[in-house]
Amino acid sequence: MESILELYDVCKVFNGFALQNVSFSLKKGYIMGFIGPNGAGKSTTIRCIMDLVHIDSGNIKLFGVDYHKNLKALKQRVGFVYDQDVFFEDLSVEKNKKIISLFYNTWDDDIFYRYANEFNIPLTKPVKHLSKGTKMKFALAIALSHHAELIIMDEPTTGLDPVFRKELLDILKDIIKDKDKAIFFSTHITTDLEQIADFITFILDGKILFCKQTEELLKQYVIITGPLNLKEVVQASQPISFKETSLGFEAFFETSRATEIISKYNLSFKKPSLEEIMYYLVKSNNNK
Amino acid sequence: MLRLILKDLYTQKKIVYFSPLLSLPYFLSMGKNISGSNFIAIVIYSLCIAFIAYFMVMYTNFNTGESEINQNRLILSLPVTRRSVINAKYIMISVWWLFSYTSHILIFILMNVVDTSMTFNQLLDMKVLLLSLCFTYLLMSIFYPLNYKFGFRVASPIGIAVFFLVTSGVGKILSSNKAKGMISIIIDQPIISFSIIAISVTLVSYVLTAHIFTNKDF
Repeated sequence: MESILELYDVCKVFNGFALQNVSFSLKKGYIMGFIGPNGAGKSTTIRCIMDLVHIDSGNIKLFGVDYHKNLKALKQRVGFVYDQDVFFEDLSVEKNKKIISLFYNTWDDDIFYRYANEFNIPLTKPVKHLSKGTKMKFALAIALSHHAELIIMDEPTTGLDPVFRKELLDILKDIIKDKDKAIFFSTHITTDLEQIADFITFILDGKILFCKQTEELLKQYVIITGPLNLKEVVQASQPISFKETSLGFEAFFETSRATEIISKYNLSFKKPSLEEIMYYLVKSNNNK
Repeated sequence: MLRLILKDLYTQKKIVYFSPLLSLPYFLSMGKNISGSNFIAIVIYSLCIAFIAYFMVMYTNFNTGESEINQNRLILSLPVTRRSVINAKYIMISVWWLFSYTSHILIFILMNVVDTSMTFNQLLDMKVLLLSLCFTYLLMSIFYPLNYKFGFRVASPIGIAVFFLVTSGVGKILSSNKAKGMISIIIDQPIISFSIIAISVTLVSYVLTAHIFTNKDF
């Protein structure tokens, strides 16, 4: 399966923050969720991919091609959604569409108006008068209206109501049925990713902690709970993160390290959610 | 690049299309005989056209700080190269100059309908056409590098200040003994002189602006 997006040891020092050796790849036909706490480097990484920010070292490939070679042609195949208002705010939705559609050879008005109708986007209203959620819907409609093969989204579900978020995820699932397309989106609403992402890449303080299949990731960790009298025993097994609660303790382990003590001491355990994985890994990193 | 030119036309503020009317005080203050036959009158009229053109170009770049960054992010995310963005900007200078130039002709024609005794020898004068174009490019050559380096809020007042400093300093320059040699060359061959100056300054400005914009992070 061909890779549609590849980053190799991308480094960038930017405004007192550094991306360090960021590497991951996304194959066609898959959705990758890009998660990390605020300030981890998600938006900076996306800006590097879109060449809004020049990388200091490393390489980025789009559709198997070094992105510096003919970036203009490569961008014809990329749809983007940013977390900030980038459109011409004083102009109407229709006028914005008219301007942006000029740039895409494969622009499809039928698709755009279908989404505009589906998302209830008022075409004659100036963009500055749209609600945050409607602006995001407009950005999505634009990104989906030129047959883009790679869709890059920076926190697309922020500000959307839960109903539309679910609808958006359904739309993305529909898009990815076309095995020649891929979706890369950053978010910290991890519940969305659990439903839809095939791969999760986690960034923390400018470094990639892991890039794994979602299913594999969710099986990789376990949360053990137990009474305080077993605290020392569990801590001796070096959990990734450990905390005491009013009822006992919670310990976050890699499953492979936890299996023995779970069976030996008959401890309760549960599979953590993606949010819990993120929480414990960040906490562990902060404690180092 | 055509797409970027169209983008600038679509995003221009509507009110700016009325800016040539700002020249009305000039036309009215000159009375029945708007034209002069001397070089100064030609320069003044050319500067008038150039300033309006400058105003129109400047306004297409109007943005507050954060929206300036965001709009550059939008444009650069589209299938364009950074160099073509700058190329389009410098070509648009001619477009807005042409609008300013033809608007001034229209304004005079309309005034002439009201007062047929008005004369304006320089209406279609080649010197005015070329000088106003040169002045427009000279003004924008100051504006664009500052705009892309420091933002619109810094570039726009500096550009306007330079315009008024230069125009108000022209008299002193003309009466200066030291500058007499240089001034006489310019007065003898104004079109060639200003064209050479405008082309040289615009080239330097273009290279500088392209360098700034190509290397900037958004």
